[in-house]
Amino acid sequence: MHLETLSLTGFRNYRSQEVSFAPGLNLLSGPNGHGKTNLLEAIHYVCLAHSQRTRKDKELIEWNGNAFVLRLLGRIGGLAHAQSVEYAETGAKRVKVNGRESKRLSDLIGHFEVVSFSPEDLDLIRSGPQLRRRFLDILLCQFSLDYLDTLRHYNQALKQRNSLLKQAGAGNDVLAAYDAPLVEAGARITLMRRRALADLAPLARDCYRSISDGGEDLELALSGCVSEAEEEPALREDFHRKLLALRGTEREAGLTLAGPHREDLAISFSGKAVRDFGSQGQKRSVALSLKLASARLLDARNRRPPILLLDDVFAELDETRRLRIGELIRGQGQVFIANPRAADLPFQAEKIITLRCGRVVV
Amino acid sequence: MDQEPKEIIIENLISQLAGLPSIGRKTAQRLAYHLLAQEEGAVQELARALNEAKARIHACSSCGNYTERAVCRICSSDRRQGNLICVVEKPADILAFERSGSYPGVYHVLGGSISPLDGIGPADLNFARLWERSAAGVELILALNTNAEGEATASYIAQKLHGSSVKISRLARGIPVGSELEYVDELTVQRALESRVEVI
Ligand SMILES: Nc1ncnc2c1ncn2[C@@H]1O[C@H](COP(=O)(O)OP(=O)(O)OP(=O)(O)O)[C@@H](O)[C@H]1O
Ligand SMILES: [Mg+2]
Ligand SMILES: [Zn+2]
Repeated sequence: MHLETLSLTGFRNYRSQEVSFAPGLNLLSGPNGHGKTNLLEAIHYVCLAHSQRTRKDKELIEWNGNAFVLRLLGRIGGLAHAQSVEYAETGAKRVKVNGRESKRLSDLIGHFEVVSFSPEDLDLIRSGPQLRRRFLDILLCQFSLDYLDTLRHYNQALKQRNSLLKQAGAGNDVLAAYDAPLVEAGARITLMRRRALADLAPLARDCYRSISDGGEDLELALSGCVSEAEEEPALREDFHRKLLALRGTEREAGLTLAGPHREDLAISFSGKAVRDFGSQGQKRSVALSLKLASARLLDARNRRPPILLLDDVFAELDETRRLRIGELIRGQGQVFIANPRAADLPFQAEKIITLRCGRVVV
Repeated sequence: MDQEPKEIIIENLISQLAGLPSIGRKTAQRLAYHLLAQEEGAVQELARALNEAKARIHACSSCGNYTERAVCRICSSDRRQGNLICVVEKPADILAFERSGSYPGVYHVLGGSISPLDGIGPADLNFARLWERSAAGVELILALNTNAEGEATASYIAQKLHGSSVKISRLARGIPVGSELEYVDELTVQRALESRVEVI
């Protein structure tokens, strides 16, 4: 699996540019502020339907422009694969995957698996639960279409139910009717997240151990679940019971107050939250371990290495961490590294793409 | 340079056609040019068929399906099992079952699904007639879309008829998640029908 060409139109500082890639290690070089991260962002967006650095898709549109288009060509299992996305200022989006049109951005996900590393990954540890849920969701969606479907289902049920809770005259019978799809999809999401975490946790613990030379035992768990039930029917029942108990409070709040959208990925050392007690360096290592572990998990589940996007990571990392990243990259699939200077790298790039003001220099 | 004047009438025809489902701009253009190349009589015939259909076709007083009679041909057929009722969202969903040729019962068209975001509540759907038809000995097969709205609507029906003697089942999975019944193939519908699962 690898990307062959990407054409960018009206995306950030790219007016109109086509870039082609090598199947192995690609180095994006060029001075600060000339478009290295923007190019990684374009790859991230067209593969995963969101940017790694902003939630506001409108920011991706070139200033003064009113839409951007990204067109990607690549190979999956030897077969040509094309996907494109068009996003307009109005919020209208058009997605095409191998010629099939759709209006759902999420139809882009699940074809090219991607793991990105950037200094902002630290936010995964520092920020609120939303980013961590997103991290889990994107990881799961990349090896389970069932998860993607269930998540869509859940989010739609949640939206409907919240709009119902905001209507003063909404009957309890209609509310109860919307408990059904919420509980059904919700229980499956919680269980799928838990199972994925059971696989991810040992990988992350190993990565952390080797980055930090022994040190603490990194623990990952799903917190904020409606119950600890391990079977679907029991979990559904617990979820349903919780919703019934919350009826009055939910009507007051105008919001659904229990379910997977309130869960969090708890990250700790011997029960102590890394977010609250970890040092800056520990947090950095934990963030890196989460990413390294998800790359390993995707590789194992899909039997092919994911595409790696590495933004400015070498500048920030100490020797041990550089080595670990180096190990991950060696003999892997396609890798994109953004670094101002080509000479900084510990390895030979197959292709060097030099960027100036949103153009490829040839 | 002066702007060339627009061809308003043909443009209007094309945009009317392009407003139809699964007709893109190109197909609309092709259809418009095709119509214009026809004899006048043929075009009048088409216009008459459209007008007549709109004027004379209405909902069946029993099931809500489209019909030109008071009661549709399915409801009035004596070869149909009147106590087996397949509940669908819209008339077009009936086609999927009729194409499969293996369904022995009748239908009930709700006219949509419960969707608070679109302001559609139970009062906007054909439930009153459904409760009337849900007498003892009746089996309802809920064949609603497999999206959140369809599931909530199915759950609403099950809730309302809970404790009655009506048997309720739903189509087995196999119909892709989130899909619209109208576009599912016959074989899938037939299988889902055969392996339907009891709700209450
Ligand atoms: N929506 C936009 N439209 C036009 N230009 C933009 C837009 N968003 C950002 N830019 C420009 O893109 C440039 C930033 O590019 P990018 O972040 O890719 O830099 P970089 O090459 O990664 O730099 P560094 O080495 O500092 O990380 C800035 O000059 C910024 O002005
Ligand atoms: Mg950058
Ligand atoms: Zn009828």
